[in-house]
Amino acid sequence: MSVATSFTQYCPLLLGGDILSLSPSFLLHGKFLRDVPIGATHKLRPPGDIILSALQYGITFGSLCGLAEELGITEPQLIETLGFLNCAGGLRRRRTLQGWLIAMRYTAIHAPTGAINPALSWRQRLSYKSLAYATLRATWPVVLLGILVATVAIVSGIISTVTGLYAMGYALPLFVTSIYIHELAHTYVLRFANIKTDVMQLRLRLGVMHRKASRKVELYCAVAGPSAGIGLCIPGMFYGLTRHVLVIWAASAAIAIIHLAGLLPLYGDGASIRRSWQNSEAI
Amino acid sequence: MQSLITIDQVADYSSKEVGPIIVALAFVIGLGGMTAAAVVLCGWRGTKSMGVNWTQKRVEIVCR
Repeated sequence: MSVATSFTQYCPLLLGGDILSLSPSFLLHGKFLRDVPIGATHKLRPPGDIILSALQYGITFGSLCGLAEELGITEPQLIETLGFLNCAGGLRRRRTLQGWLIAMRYTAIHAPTGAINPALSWRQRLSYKSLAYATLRATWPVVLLGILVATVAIVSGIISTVTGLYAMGYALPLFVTSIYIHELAHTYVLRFANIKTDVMQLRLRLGVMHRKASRKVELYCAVAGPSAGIGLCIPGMFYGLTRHVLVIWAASAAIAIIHLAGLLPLYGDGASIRRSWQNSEAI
Repeated sequence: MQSLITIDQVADYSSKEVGPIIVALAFVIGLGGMTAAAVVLCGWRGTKSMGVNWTQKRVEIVCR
């Protein structure tokens, strides 16, 4: 199966001076690109291997475009390849401060037209620190918006200062911590099955990348995440109920329901459970 | 246009979780919308209370 042209839409905004490189999770062996944690080996069609080789050592986007032109690679082909790498978490980009200002100007100019550039994905070998960083990267819009809404509600007198402080000081940290614990639970199940993992973040998407596991491991892994997230909320719900602190109970219950929503068979963990169940029926 | 990469069938780059964070963002946006509505309807510091009536499926905002 060849790469669908839809990968073009995943190519982030790139400036000529941006230094692009390949993530360490990807290894280049001749005409094959190996995604080590996933256990996938993608085949490269020449001269695509030369492009990937240049990325392996780091190259500016401007130089990469020049190299592509010399090799007879069209711009759509190059953008599609970079889009795929970004989708897979294999693209790294370093940009100067001046580059960031230029990029922000481009984004501001194109935003009114509805043209939003895809974000650069972030992928690293999973550790406590990398997972924490990825969780903060994925959840900061929720935290920022939550602080803003709580502040407006306090200042406009809709809620008391105490309630607002509980919302900011308890609910938001509980939410972020529960997401972290959720992903950590996935990781522990996979580590128990001796499966290496990477953590990947793209905008609001946060996930653990791993090779295909047995049906049992996939099922336990999918259930472990939401269960851990809900489990973290139970003490707060119990405390709120017994001490009659409604805001703590409500915040804990809401976050538990958010994790429960992840078990819906439409996406994420719920979809993993559904697939595992369907595979078992097929057998 | 021929692609430069042929993807391995075992690769699944779509399985990333977005559900809990999207639901949380939607929840906060909902609360923000209610807050904004209360400020617009009752004015600054004019809201007495605000709540959701689940049986009648509506938001109730009481002004001072």
